Amino acid sequence: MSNYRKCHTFYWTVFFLVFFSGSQAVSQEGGVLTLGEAVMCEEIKGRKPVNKTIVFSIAARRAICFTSFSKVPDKVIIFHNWYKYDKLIAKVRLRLQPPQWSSFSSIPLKEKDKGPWRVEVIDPKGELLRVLRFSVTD
Amino acid sequence: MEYITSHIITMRWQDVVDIILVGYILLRFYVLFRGTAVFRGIVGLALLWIFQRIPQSLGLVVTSWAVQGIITVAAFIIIVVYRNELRSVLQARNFKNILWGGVHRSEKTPVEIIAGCAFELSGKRPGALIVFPGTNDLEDVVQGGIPWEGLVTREMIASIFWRDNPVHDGAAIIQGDRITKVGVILPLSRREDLPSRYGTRHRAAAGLCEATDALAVVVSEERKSVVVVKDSELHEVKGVFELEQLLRDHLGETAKPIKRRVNEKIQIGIAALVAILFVTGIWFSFTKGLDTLIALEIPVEYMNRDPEMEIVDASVNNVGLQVGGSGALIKSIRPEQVQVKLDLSKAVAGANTYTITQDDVTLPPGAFLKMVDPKTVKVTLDVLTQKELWVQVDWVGELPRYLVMESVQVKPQKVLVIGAKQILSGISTAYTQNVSLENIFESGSLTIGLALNHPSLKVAPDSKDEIELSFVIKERDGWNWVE
Repeated sequence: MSNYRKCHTFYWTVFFLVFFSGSQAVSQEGGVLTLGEAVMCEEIKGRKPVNKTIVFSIAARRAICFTSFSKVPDKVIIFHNWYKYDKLIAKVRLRLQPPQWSSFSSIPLKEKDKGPWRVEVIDPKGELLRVLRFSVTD
Repeated sequence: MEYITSHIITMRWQDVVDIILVGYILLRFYVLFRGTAVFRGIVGLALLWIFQRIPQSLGLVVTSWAVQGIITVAAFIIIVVYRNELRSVLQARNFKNILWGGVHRSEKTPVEIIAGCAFELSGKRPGALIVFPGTNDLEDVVQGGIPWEGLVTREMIASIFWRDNPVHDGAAIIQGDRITKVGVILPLSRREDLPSRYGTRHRAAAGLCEATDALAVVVSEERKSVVVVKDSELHEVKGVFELEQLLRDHLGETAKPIKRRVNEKIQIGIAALVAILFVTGIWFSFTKGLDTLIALEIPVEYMNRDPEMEIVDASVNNVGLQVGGSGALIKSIRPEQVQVKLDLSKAVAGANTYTITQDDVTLPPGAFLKMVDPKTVKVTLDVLTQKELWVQVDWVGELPRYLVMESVQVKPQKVLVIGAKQILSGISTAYTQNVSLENIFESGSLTIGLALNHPSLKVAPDSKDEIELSFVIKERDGWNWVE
């Protein structure tokens, strides 16, 4: 897990407009944190997800989980928890800052990673905001 | 004891016939040769054979080989040394008697006639010398003689030892109720302690009896005495009755005929029993040597568990068994004849440890359990419960590089699964069977079954186990067809 975090996971936060308001959570300062978009994709270009997919070939080299929030009242910490089957593989800590934020985390793909995966998006209070399911294949 | 019982159970009818046949052959040897030197030789050979089995079982190759050689040589020596006894035994009996001859060895000797005649001859010239053979063969000891084969009668004996009869100087040999030879020359004794009153006839009787187990009756015309010679002893007989008694003792006719016959039958019965036991022992030693072991990998069946509980984990699914038995039995064993069943009726929720015993293993009759590996089994049981699990598709294979699978909808999204509480607590997702991407080129739908990842899990009866998938395929952004 730590290898994924140290070597292959990085997080990057950008401001941009909110398209859709889905899940909501209360921030550390009491505001409501609303999850807009959450998708799996192959690339991020211009701060937007490219080639949204639920099947990653290991030839793609990495899988990205992209999340964007429409309301970020204060600085908050969210988590992307990566599971293969039901085993937690990586827990990625992401920092969000107002007014609007998106963030992503990624894992490198190797031969041994083939199989069904899921990413759980967790708010600062540990509430599950969304689950994204995908497979790593040949 | 269990080993012996298992062997007896597995005895085939051929084995029983085998033992009876060889036992009967041994019994016939006893009947034909008992009391003779040949019989003692055969007993010696049997003891040598037993002695040879000991180093063989201990792995002493050279000793075993040497004893085997000695047995072979000893068998030849017995045949050569005792050839006359063997011949006389075999010649005296026809083929039927050899196979099924009665236990009566010979016709009864008319002891009264012989004793009376002996005392009638005493004092008359030229006396008499009568030999009653024992079990030893006299052929190698005596010389000459004329075959007579006449019935023993008072007149016959008197005529043989009549002074004008050419054979009166030799000894007459009486076997059963017949005078078999007359004019026989006996070896003279070289003893120097014989009293001077004894003449050549006494010395000849002593010489024969020193070399064999025969009994000789010497009738002296000079001293008007009757002397019985047996082994190295010369005994002067006082009267007819004493002589009759001595003769009966020598001929084994002391007991009354019925009692003697009963005694003989008891002896034969004991001999038959010993022969059967002896051969059975040999059979056991052979079959033990032929014991074979087989290694089997047998699945463990867990029986009688509480229906409210589920086996969550078992340290082993198969155990290795070493099963022994006769070669024929082991060859015929089928894996389905061997079962390992563990009784879980007393098992509790959590870990339970069981030791596999003989009672847990079912084997075909005659086979015995030599070893179990592992001997202990750890079985963990848990209470059954239900849980709703999210359904996720397990894609495999590869989409064409220019395509991406943007999304998939599953129906139903959740299924109700029944299983052990401990197992279900660590599971949140039910995966479908593998869905191949190889032939997918456009959006579509399909139906697929679930593949629950623990054998104890099953979909609840009122929940669907067929999942409908609707997937969306799109062309990859930025795909360069020129490449």
